[in-house]
Amino acid sequence: MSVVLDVQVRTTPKAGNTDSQNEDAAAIGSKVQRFAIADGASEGWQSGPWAKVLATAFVRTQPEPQTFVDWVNSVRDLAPRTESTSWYAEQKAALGSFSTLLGISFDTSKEGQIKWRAVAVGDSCLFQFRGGKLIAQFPIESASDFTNRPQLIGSVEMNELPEPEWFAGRAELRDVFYLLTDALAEWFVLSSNANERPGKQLDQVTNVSQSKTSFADWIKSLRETKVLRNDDCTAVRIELLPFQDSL
Amino acid sequence: MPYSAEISRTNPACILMLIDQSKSMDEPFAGQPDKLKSEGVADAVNRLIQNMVLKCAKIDGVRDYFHVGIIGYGGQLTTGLGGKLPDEVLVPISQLADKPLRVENRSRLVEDGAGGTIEQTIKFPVWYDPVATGRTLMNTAFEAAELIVSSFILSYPESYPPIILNITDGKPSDANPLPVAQRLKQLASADGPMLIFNLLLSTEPKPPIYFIADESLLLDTYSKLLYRMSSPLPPRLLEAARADGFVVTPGARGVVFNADLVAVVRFLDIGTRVTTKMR
Repeated sequence: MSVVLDVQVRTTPKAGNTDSQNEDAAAIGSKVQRFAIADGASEGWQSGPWAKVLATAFVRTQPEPQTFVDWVNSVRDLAPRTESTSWYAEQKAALGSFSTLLGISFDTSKEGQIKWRAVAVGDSCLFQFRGGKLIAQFPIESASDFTNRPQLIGSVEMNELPEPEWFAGRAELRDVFYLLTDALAEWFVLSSNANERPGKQLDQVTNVSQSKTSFADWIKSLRETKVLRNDDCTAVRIELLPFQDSL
Repeated sequence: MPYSAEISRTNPACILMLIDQSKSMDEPFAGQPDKLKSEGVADAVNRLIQNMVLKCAKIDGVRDYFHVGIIGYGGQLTTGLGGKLPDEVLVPISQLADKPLRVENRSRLVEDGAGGTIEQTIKFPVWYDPVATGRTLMNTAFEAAELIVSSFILSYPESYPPIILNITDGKPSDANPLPVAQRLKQLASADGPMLIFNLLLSTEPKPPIYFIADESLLLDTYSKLLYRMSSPLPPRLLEAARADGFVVTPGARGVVFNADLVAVVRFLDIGTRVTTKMR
């Protein structure tokens, strides 16, 4: 039986910023069944566009453990350039832009077995649900692992490239995957620890029938009640549907 | 928790530097005969502003996360960075980014990757030039700072508490600044009391003393005065000091004694390490 992936993307900027200042990025490759999110670091020169370049590159070409360094170097060739000539533009551009990356790909065998593989640098996270239950999370296990200094991929070769983390698993039809940038992922882990069923809440606001503004409204309410850090927030929801269900 | 406010364009952080411009600042650092104290301080201040601009610079513009001011005190009070006394001393960082006094080409030695060094030319923007003349009106400078800090808190009541960084090489010649420092430390934003950090430049070629938590380690009355004027380092700055290799204990004050050129740079860097939560 073939599988169809139903994909929903929701994103909203930090309070106080405009949509164009949102430095999260998502890339969707439904045909190739590859998906990625990336979270640009706020101190970089143009981390938002760099995050977009990284996520898009993952969808175009999936890196393997043995090719990761070469893959990053080839993506750096596509990094956004600057034409500004002010002293600070020159110096800041030379320091580069920075982003996390979380990518996942799905592969269905002839027998209908579904496998997935993921790579992560930094604290953007994925969560896998089956029948409403969380069965896998990657790469962060505990809320205390969310810090202000996540691992990042730089657009210029200055410091050593962080070692990426790799993960793989099996999936079944009707499994749901969430890819979340750090603030939302941290909220998710904390809510999950408190048995507050964060998956259900996410489901409600990323459901295809819900407007995109309902996600932004929901994030706003979480920020107001101080359970969510003020940060750009992105959620990609991927549901594995049997082919006939998607018709 | 105090000292945890997010720094944003709607809630910027205030960094006010009080810089000794007395005649003795035209003497060299102890043990560094080729560098005048006034010049070393000016270099460190310019480098700090440069780093702050770079932190705030995005491709769509320089974000005003910081409002920065300089009050120089020698025979009289002066302002730097284009600010004006009494109440327009602070300047948003975006205005500084685009208007340094000049951009100098300076050379520095960098490793060439083959065990040697090569000379590299870098752009060095200058906002503040060294001055050294007259007495040491430190108390008058702190009194001027009182108005600036209280106005800032009125304008930005939710902001990260304002920071005063005082750099001096000698004793005040006008009056004891402890009472005004104590009054200043009562001023608070919703995020906590404002912070005063002090640095005393070297008088002898001895190692600097950083961020101590115990006044009894100090022998002379004047060092004790600066210690008492100084605020304890908030947790994040304490952590920054520790991460930079300083042995600091809770309660450590933002104060450095017998500072050489490197100590000035480190003092300014750690004293302004408030930027992990910018948006």
